Amino acid sequence: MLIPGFLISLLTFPGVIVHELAHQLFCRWFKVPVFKVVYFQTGNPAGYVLHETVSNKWQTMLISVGPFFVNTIIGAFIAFPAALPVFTFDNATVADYLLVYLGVSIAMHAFPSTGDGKAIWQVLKDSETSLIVKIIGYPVIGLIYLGSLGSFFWLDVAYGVAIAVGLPKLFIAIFA
Amino acid sequence: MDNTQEPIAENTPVENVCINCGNPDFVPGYPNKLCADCREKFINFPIPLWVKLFGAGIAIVMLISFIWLPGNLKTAMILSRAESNEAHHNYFTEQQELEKARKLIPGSIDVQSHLAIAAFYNGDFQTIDTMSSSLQGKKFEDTSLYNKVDYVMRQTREYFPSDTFNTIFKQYKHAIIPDTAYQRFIKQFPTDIYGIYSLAASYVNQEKYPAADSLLSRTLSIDVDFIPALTLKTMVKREINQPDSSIIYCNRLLAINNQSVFAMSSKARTLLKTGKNKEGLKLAQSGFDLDNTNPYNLATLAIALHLNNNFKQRDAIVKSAEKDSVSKSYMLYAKDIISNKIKFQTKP
Repeated sequence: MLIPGFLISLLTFPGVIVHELAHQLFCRWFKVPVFKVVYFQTGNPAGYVLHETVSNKWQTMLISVGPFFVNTIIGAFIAFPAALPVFTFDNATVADYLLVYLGVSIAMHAFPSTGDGKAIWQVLKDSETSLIVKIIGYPVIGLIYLGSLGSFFWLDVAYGVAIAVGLPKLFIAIFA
Repeated sequence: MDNTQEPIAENTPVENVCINCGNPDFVPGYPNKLCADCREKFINFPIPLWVKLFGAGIAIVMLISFIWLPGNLKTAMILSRAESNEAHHNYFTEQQELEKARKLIPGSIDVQSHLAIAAFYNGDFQTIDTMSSSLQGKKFEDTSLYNKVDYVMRQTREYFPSDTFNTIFKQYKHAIIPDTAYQRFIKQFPTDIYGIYSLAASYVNQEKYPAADSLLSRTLSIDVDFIPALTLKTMVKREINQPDSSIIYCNRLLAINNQSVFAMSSKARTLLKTGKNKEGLKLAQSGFDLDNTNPYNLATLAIALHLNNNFKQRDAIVKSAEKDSVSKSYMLYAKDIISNKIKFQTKP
């Protein structure tokens, strides 16, 4: 089913805001000046952070992929306890459904965008970039573009659902 | 959603001043010429109030989730273990786990449903009745679970007298129903499983074991898994000196409920009767480890300990049974064996 991207972003706007805020906070952490932040808009991209070029390659990587970890962790944390009454106990309340929605919407925006990928690409093509950064960086770029391609097939939504719903089930299956 | 690195425009004239405020004292070594104050200002690029409030909201939601997490996680673990026990037909453990889960999430359809299933196989009809009332009118999302619950509810109805049975035997409300009345009833209603079983139970009480055996077979031809009939079969077969057959019925009960303390206990008695004292004791002990209050198994354990010459523990078990009337009545049989009033073993 083809649903316009802006509509999905609109429905899952909390994830976009968390993603951009994570970029900004990573910039602040590494003392990188930020010139503009758009936390959410209906256009494409749904949000962005404009910051100074970073000379430290690791920091560039982390600023780009930081939201992946932040959104994943926050989405999983929010949805985890609520997913259990919804999908396991069959006694969910409205609050549980809201938390699952919030968790999925945040986790599904964890994937770095192609813009994030371009930022890493700039780092990798620099001849001064160390081999270890390149070894880690190229697969990351590959995954970013794969994720971007996969979003046509709802991969981002699938990831959000997997984190918010699948993770609790997996945890219970392993540790029960 | 991008993070975009601000490039330095190639064709713009490069002035040696802060690009934001024009201060000539910019901090060197960075792609953008910014004075220390402006650099600090852009590093701490302001987060709008609404985003801060949004972030605070997310933090509060995370806190709520964090508070909910231990309780829900514990319940989910219990439920998962219960389901695993159900899959392995360990209904005794399953029910114990689900009783804990019911206290934590009393309204859960899943917990109530699985509890009804476990209670059925454990013969706990009071719990089935409670769960049946709780589940009345509830909408099931899981059709497979619904089918299982529906099956045990339908089966449970077979364990109790039908309306026809009650109407016909109304006159015997406070009296023992004579066998002739049962015989007339099952002639009229040949598939009324409760009626046939009731007559078989009456025959067992009168020690008319072959007749009871025949009726129990008839019951099982109507419902192959009718647990009360299988239960009586284990005992009847033992009494008519068909130990192998008794063991087969015990194993059939154990295949239905791997933790049926009655089946373990009855099997132990059959083993003891045929002189397999050590095996019998081991099984009776296993039943005791599972449920140390089961009066039938307490009596079996006392017999097993007696036959294995463990008189000290035997006496302790016999003494413990004195505490309640049900255990005491079951223990009478064991006491008769201990005092040689009943000759229990066919092979010494």
